[in-house]
Amino acid sequence: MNSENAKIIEQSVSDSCLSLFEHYQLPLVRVDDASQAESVQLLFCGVLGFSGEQMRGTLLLATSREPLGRTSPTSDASLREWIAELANQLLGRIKNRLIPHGVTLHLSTPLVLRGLHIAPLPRAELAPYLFACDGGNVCVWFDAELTPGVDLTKMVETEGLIGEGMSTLF
Amino acid sequence: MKKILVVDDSSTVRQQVGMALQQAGYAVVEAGDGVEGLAMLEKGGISMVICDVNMPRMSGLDMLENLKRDARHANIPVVMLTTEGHPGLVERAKKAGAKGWIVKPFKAELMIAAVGKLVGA
Repeated sequence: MNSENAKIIEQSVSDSCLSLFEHYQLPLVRVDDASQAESVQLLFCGVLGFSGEQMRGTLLLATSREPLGRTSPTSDASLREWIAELANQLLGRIKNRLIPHGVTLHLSTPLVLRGLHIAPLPRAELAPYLFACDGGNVCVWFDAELTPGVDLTKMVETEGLIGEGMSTLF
Repeated sequence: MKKILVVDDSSTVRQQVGMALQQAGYAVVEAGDGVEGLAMLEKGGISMVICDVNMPRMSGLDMLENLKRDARHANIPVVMLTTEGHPGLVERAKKAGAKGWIVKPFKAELMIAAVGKLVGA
């Protein structure tokens, strides 16, 4: 993947994660040293696959207990079920941010993994996006493979795109 | 009391939507995918459907198209509630007869306003 494409993907993933948790009143701070993720104790990991003509791959969202519990919109929600929905909402945001770059993705339904030290084995060396919040951590692995020749710097028309939190009646 | 069917494979989202609707004075029934959603419709009394798009077994768009093909349910307003915002999917839903589209995470006041416009208080 060339550096321009990689930069657009990184910005989309990072911005999407920050804005998602911001929506649930939990500000995150990006941690530049992703190697710290190895020492983070994670509770659950939500996993979704995505595919399309331009890109395919897997998204993994893992968090410690605190950020998961604090973002849950209902007090009696299952944390296992909530990480799946959070991963779904995160990939939805990334997908919407990539639409102006000509990328159309189809998402799978999420599944959940549980473990204290989750370390996926991607196709190539892949550092997680690591975020810190008051009392915990959030990790995102975005393992994407671009179709040869795809240039994300070419912008496309996005009339009719509906952003997060927006609604429209027909 | 108007009864709203909420169809989503996330029980947390169903709870969240259900609480907002109940606080606004609506009765709520739930389904976990399109197949369950169509089965709930058979029981009758549904005034409106709020439906996710990406779900196992039967997607929200497939459920919408099934519902609109059935004369008994064709007039029930359907609003899609999803992480998707792609214009192609929105257009497909509109052509299939959906009345609205809300992108998660939703704002309760916007959703309640949409429900109010479509089925009244």
